[in-house]
Amino acid sequence: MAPRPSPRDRLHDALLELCFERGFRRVDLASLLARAGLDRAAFAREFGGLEDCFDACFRAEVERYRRQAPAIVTEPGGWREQVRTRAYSLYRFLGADRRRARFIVVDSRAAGERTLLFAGQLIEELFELIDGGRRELADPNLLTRATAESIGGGIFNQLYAILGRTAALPPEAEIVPQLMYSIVLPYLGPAAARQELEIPPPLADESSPLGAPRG
Amino acid sequence: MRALPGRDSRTSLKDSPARVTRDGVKADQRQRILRATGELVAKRGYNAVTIELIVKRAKVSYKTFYAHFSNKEECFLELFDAVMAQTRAQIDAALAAEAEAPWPQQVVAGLRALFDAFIADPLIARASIVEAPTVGPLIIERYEKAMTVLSPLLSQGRESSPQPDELPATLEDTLAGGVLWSAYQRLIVGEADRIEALLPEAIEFVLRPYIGEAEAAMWAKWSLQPAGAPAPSAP
Repeated sequence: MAPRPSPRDRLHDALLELCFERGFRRVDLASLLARAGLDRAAFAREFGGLEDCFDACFRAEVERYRRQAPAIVTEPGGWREQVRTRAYSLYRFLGADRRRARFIVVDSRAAGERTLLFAGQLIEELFELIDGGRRELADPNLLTRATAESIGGGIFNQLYAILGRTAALPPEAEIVPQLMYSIVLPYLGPAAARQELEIPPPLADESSPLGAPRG
Repeated sequence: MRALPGRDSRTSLKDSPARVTRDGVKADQRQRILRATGELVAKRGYNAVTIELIVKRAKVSYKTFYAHFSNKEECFLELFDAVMAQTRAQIDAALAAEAEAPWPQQVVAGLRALFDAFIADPLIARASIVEAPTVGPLIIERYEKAMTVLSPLLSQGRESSPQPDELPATLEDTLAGGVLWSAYQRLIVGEADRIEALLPEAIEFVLRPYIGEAEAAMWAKWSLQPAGAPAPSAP
């Protein structure tokens, strides 16, 4: 028999469910406790408040991604391959659980200051990766970091809109190549960008729960 | 279209003409409440703003607040709608003035109008664009529309593309959302005065997929010229 989940795990799961159903700003402590089957004292032993609970769950999800990724069979390559690998591994991580996707992309923007700062750092890491494309240019000063921020921000806004509207991500083969097109275009030009639309999703690392492609 | 609450709305009662109508007073109260909500949300964040803070800043009673809005959320949604309607109207006016101009020139005008709207009232822009996602599920649909306000204009660029069928379907939403993201970052750190400097790179960013690197760079450079400078022709 599987061991009973810890109070922290039960609160984590309950928070993901409630955020998915009604959005974080409409989650109150009473409904969280009822869903987790815990009392206030048990909650207080784990967290200082709802925002603290959200922040801990958010960081736990990020840690889960970092522990399990990369879950894709990577081929040796340069900047473009690295970006593609990251795009698919992130998309598969989010797509594996629609509650998680909405929690990370949508609800985190309604969370407290600490989560917003942490999420901002994560987004900066992604921008840094995209900005690496400038090293592919004959003159890296032709573009600034603002281009990478615009691309990354545009993609993030798009995921936010999709999850806000449909609560689930479309199959990866529909979306990721299009996003890769936008990423590659300013740095490697239109021919390389068009190639991205034809490149099939990378193989999954079957040993990882994140490896399985969607769609 | 509802008017965006003006910067001087808190003093506008003093400046009202001698003959004050009941409807005029009501409208003024509403404007003051909206303005106060926007300023408070920009400074403290949506979640830290209470009705108590709003009524104090707007110099109205609780009764007056509740005569206009049933809660903070409803008030903020109206502010958001008003800001977006006004921004859209400014973009439409800029595009109408360039109706006969080539498409890239229209894009320059549309982007400039968008950035000008942010620069003109950065506090309210910050409240609407930066804080809106913290409000919760009710605003998501509105926010999505705001993020893609430029998409219809950008999609006209497909007619200028030598290979329109090879452009991805989500391209316009990525580009429009990307431009807004750049402005959003400046609003977060209180650097609205640096938004204008983003314009050339934003122009290049949105034009590049349709007309190519060289022509996009040309229009970006042209956007730095004084108003009335002759538009470039295709290289």
